[in-house]
Amino acid sequence: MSRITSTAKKAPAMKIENSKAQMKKGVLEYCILAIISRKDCYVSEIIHELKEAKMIVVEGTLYPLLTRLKNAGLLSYRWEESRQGPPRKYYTLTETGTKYLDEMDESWKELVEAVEWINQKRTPH
Amino acid sequence: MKKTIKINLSGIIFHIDEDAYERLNDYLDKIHGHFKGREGGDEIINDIEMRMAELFQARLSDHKQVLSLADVEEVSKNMGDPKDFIEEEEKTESAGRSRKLYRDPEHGILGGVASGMGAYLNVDPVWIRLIFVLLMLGYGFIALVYLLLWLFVPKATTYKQKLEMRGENITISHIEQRVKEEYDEVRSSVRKYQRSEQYKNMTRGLNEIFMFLGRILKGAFQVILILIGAALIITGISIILGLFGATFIHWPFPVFDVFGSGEPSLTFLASSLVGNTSMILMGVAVALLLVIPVFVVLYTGIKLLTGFGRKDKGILLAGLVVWLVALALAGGTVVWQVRDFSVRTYTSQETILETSEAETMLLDINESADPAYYVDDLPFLDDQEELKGTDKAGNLYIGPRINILKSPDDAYRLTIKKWSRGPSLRQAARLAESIRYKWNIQDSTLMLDSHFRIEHSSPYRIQQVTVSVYVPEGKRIAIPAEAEQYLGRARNDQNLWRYEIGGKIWEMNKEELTLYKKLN
Repeated sequence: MSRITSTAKKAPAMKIENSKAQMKKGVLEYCILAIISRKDCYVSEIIHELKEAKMIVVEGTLYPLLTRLKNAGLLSYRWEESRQGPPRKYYTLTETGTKYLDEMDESWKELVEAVEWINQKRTPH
Repeated sequence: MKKTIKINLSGIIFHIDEDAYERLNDYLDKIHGHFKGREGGDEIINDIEMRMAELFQARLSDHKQVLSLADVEEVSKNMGDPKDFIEEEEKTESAGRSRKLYRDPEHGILGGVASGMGAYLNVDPVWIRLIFVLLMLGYGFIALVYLLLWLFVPKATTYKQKLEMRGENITISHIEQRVKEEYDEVRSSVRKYQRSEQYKNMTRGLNEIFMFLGRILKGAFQVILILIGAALIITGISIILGLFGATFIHWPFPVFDVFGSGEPSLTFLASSLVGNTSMILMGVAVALLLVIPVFVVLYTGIKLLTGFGRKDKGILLAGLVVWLVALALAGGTVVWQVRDFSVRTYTSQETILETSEAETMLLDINESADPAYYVDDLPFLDDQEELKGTDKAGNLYIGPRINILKSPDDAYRLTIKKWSRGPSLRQAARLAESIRYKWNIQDSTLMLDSHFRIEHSSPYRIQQVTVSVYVPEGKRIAIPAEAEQYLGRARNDQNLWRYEIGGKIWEMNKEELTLYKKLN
């Protein structure tokens, strides 16, 4: 079911929600990798940080993404017992994940610069 | 006081209020429906359940041990509705489903299940109904499936629902997803329904009744089939035994001489009636005509017990074809053989009897050539009332028919007519001439043979001999008792017939015989 999106499929009906979601989607993956790169963490820590940063509204979003990143070999996890509650999945970056993140950092910088450069020429409303 | 339910979420036990439980169940159903069947879907579901367990745990303390509706609402709001998830695949929710499965009682016969499915699949509901009925005939539980669909598929009542029911055409690529969605929806509505008190108290019972009825219908159908099958097998076996027994019937001769009694068998005798080739053809045809229906009856019976296969129709069809061929063969043989009997003719021989002026002539029967066996009621020899018989070699013995008539002049006269049938006049005449019937007159005694003989090797074509004895007016004839069984016409003043004429002396008057005196 999860395939690369074909935007052409529903080209005529452009909706702002969709555009925002598209934008966020790639960034969200980048953010997740960035958070995990600092230290191994479990879901609730990731969620906490993403929520603080107002990257996500609902938690449910995170799980499919984590699974996908894990299946892509960028993340791995280990189980750790917790004093309260069920055992937790601690996510960590794999070697591929680290390289992937480095490239994403580069790409992000380029992207931000490009957007800023374009927006400089825009007359503010 | 509130009733709580104990649940196991991701391996942790929670006590939860009943209303909260229903809300949680709905939410998890939604999550299941969303992720089920995807790559890594189960893992995602587990992660979500685990996280929810964690969040629930955080909300409980020594003072608060039971999850409330508010807890569930808060946590599920936190987790978010699947349609709000940001995913790699662009959501298509805004487009909506093109079609939904509803019942369509307006166009339905029972519950509108078939017409609803027809609308959903864009086919004429007649086909759905046909499939349902055919499947129900074969598999009783399909009736149950129908009843469950009736019970759980919602009825299209509002305009919107009817639009959704008709919807736009479904493309193949959508069907898989549709089916999954519909399945989840039906399942979730079933679950919701199952949780209600109403269901627990009433519908579960109803469900069991449906299931029970379904089983009974199926069982009854199978029992009836088995009974019919058993009856057919018994019938078939009875007919086989009957046919087998019929070969031993002794009426008036054995059909086949199975015991070697020396009596000529019917089949042996019949071979002089019809040609040998015809006999064999007829035998084969009759055997097939009798055996094939019995075989079909037996086969059908066995198949009703064991179930019909694909080849069975072919076998039964082949049986029908062979049976029709046998029928045609039998008919053809009969027509062919009837030709041999189509023409009847006779030869006649008239003699003036020298009786040396005697006033009375004595009729006597020479029984020297008696057959070994008398045939009184052989069907195919019985159209004439003559005495007939046969011997061990199958030669036929046929008695003459004797008429006593008035002579046109004053001499005793004798006319012997020999009759026969045949395929042509010439052949009939030839067969008639070949009859050897002997008589003689000595003094005033007319000696007539009791039979003429037809060799077994020569065909029987209903040969007959008619003996006419002409008695002059005023002369007498003595008829012994043993001769009366051969008598045909003999008009007399006593109005006696056949068996009462013998044992008397008769005098011929102007018109008829008059009783002269009785023999001692």
